[in-house]
Amino acid sequence: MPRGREDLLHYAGLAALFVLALAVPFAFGTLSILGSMGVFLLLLSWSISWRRQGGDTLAGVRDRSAWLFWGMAGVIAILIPIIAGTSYFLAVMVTFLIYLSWNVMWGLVLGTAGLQSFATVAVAGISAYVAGYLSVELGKSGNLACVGGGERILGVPVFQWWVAIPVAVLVGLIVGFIISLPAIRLRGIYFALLTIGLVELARAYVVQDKCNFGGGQGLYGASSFIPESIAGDLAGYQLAYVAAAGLAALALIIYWRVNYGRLGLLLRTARESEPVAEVLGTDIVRARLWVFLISSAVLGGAGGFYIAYYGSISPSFFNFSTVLFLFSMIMIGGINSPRGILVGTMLLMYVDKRFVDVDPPEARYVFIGLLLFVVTIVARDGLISIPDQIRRRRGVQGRGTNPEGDPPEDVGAIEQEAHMPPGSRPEPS
Amino acid sequence: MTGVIVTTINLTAIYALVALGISLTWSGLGFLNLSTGAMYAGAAYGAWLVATNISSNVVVVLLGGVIVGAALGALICLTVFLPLDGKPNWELRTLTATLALSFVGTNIYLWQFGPQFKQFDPLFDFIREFRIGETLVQPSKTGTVIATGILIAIILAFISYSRIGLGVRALTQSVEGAALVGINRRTTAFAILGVSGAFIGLAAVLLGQIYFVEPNSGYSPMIKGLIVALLGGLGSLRGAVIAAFLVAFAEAVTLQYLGGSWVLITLFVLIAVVLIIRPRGIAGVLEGTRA
Repeated sequence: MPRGREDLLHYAGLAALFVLALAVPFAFGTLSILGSMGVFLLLLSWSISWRRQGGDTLAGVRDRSAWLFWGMAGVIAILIPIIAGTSYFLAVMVTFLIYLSWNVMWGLVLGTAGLQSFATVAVAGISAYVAGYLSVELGKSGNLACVGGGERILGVPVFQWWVAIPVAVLVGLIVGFIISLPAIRLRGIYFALLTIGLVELARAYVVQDKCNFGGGQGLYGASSFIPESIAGDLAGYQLAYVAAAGLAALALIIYWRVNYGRLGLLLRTARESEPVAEVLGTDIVRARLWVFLISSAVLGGAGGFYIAYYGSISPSFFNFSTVLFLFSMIMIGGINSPRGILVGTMLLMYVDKRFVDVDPPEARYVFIGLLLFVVTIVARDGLISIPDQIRRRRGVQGRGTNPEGDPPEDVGAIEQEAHMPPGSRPEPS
Repeated sequence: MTGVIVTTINLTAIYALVALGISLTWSGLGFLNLSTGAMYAGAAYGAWLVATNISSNVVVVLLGGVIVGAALGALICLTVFLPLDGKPNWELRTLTATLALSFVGTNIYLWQFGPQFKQFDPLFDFIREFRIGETLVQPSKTGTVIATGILIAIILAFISYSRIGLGVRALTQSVEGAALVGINRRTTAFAILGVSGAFIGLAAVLLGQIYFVEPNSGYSPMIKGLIVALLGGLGSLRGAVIAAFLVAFAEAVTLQYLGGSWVLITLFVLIAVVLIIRPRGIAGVLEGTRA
C-alpha cells in the first residue's frame, strides 16, 4: 500500500479514537476524561513508536515524531476546562499537574541519570514546609504556636506566596545539594536507602516539632496565590489550573532541555557504562551533581506551589505511601520517557480518584499494586516501551542472538559522543 | 546502664535476623527484597492465626511464623525472581516488583485483619524472670535470645552441611563459579529466599510479642534491617551481626536518654556517617567483586 494512503488511514484512525475519548466523559462522568485521555495518549504513543522506522528507543536521541504526541497533549490541556470545567474536576487536575511536575523531575534523576533516588518527596516536602513555615510565621496568619514577627510593610504581610515560591526553590536547591554530597558517592541501593531514610527523617522531624511545624496536624493558613475574592469559586479553580499547567509545562521544558541536551547524553552514557563515560572524559560526579541540583530546584519550586495552592501541609505528606504512589505512576508509565511519565501519572490519578469510595478502600491499593507488579514483570521500561520491546524481540530473534534482545540502550548516544572532536569536551549546561 | 545492655542484646538478636534475611538474598541472588516488611507482617499474622486457632504452645507458634515466612519467601522467588532473572533493567525492576508486592500485601492484611492491633499471649511465660543488678530481665527477652540462637544454629548447620546449603554458599561467592560446577541457580533461589523468609518470620514473632501486630508493623523492622544490612556491608553475614549490635546499641541508648521519636533520626545519622566514611559498610565486599 502506498505510504500516503496508509498515513491517511492512520491519522483517520487516531482522530476517531480521539473523538471516542472525548465522548467518554459525557457517558461516564467528567472524571473519566482523565482516564480516557490517558488511554488515548498511550495508544497514540504506541502508534508513533510502532510506525517509526529504523527503531530507536524512546530514551536517548530526540524523537522527531513526538510533536504529534505533545501537540495532542496541549490540545487536551486546553479542552479539559472547556469540557469538564467543574470546580471538583479542576481541583483534581491541579493535583495531577503538581504530581506531574514532581514525577518529571524524578524521571530525570531515576531514569536519565539512573540514580535510585527516593528523595523526591523529601525535597518537595521540605521546601513546602519551610515556605509554609515562613509564610505562616512571618505573615502571622496561621496556627503555629511560636509566632514571631508578622512584619508588615504598609499594612501588607511581607511574606506572601510570591516570596514563598522563590524561597522554596532556594530551599530545594540547598536540600538537594546537601543530599547529593554523600549520596553521589554511594551506589545503587545505598543511595535508595539513604533517600528513603531522608523522607522518614523529615516526617519524624516535623511530627515532633510542634512549635515550628505544627506537629502531627501540620501547618495551615499559608498565603495562597488565589485572591480571597475568588477563592473557592470556579474562577479560583480556573486560575489555579492555568497556573498549575504553567508549572507542569515549565517542568517538562526543563526535562526536555536536560534530557535531550548534552547533560542528558552524558548521564545516559554514564548510566549504561561508567567505564565508557570515563574513557570519553566525562566528569560523572559533576554531571550527576548538576542533574540533582536542577531537579531539586524545580522540585522545591513545585513544593512551594503546593503550599501556595493548598495553604496547608501535614506530616502525612512524607508517608511512605505518597512515595509509593508517585513511584507507581512513573514506573507504570515508563521512567525513561516524558511520554511515559505523563501517561502513567494520568492513568493512576484516574484510578485513584475514580475508586476513591470503593468498598473496601484497600481494594484500590491492591489494584494499583498489582498493576505496578504486572507492568514491571511484563514490560522492561513501563507501558510506553511495549512496542519497542516487541519490535526488538522480533528483530533480534530473527538473527538468533540473545532472546531478550538487549543491545546497549544508547548506542547512538555513545557513538555520537565518541565522534566529537577531542577539544570539545562537553560541559554540563 | 544494665537496662541499655539488656535491650541491646535483645534488639541485636531481632535485627540480626531481619538483616540476615535481606543480606542473604542480596549476596545470593543480587536483589534487594523490599517486600521484607510485608513478609514480616504476613509471618506475624500467620503465627497469630496459629496461636489463636491451633495451639499457643511456644514451639508451635514460633514454627508457624518460621514456616509462613519461608513460604512467603518462596512466593517472592516464584513471582519476582524467576520471571525477572536475567532480564534487562534487573536492579530497578526487582526493586519495583518487590515494592509493589509489599504494597499489595500490606493492603490485603488491612483488608482481612483490619487496622486493629493483634497481640500474642506471652510466649515465654515458662521462663523465670531474673534480675541483673537493678534491671529486670523479662522472659520475652530471654526467650528471644534463645530462640534466635537456636534458629541461627539450625540454619548455619543447614548451610554448612547440606547439599543445597553448599549451593547457596557457592552462589553467594560467585555466580559463574556456581554455574560451572553445575549448581542450579533457580532451585537454589528457593532455598535462599526460603531461609531468608524463615529468619524474617522468626523475627516477626519475636518482636510481635513485645510490640503489636498490625498491617504496617513490618515497615520499621524492614527499614532497620536494611540499615543493619547496609551498615554491615551487603552480602556479609559477619558484618550484619556486628552492625546489628551497633544499631541495637544506638537505639537502646537513644530510647533511654532521648525518647522513642528520636530513634530513626539517630539511626540515619549513624548510617549516613558510616557510609560517607566507608561506602561499602563495615565488612562489605567491594562493588564489582560480586558479579
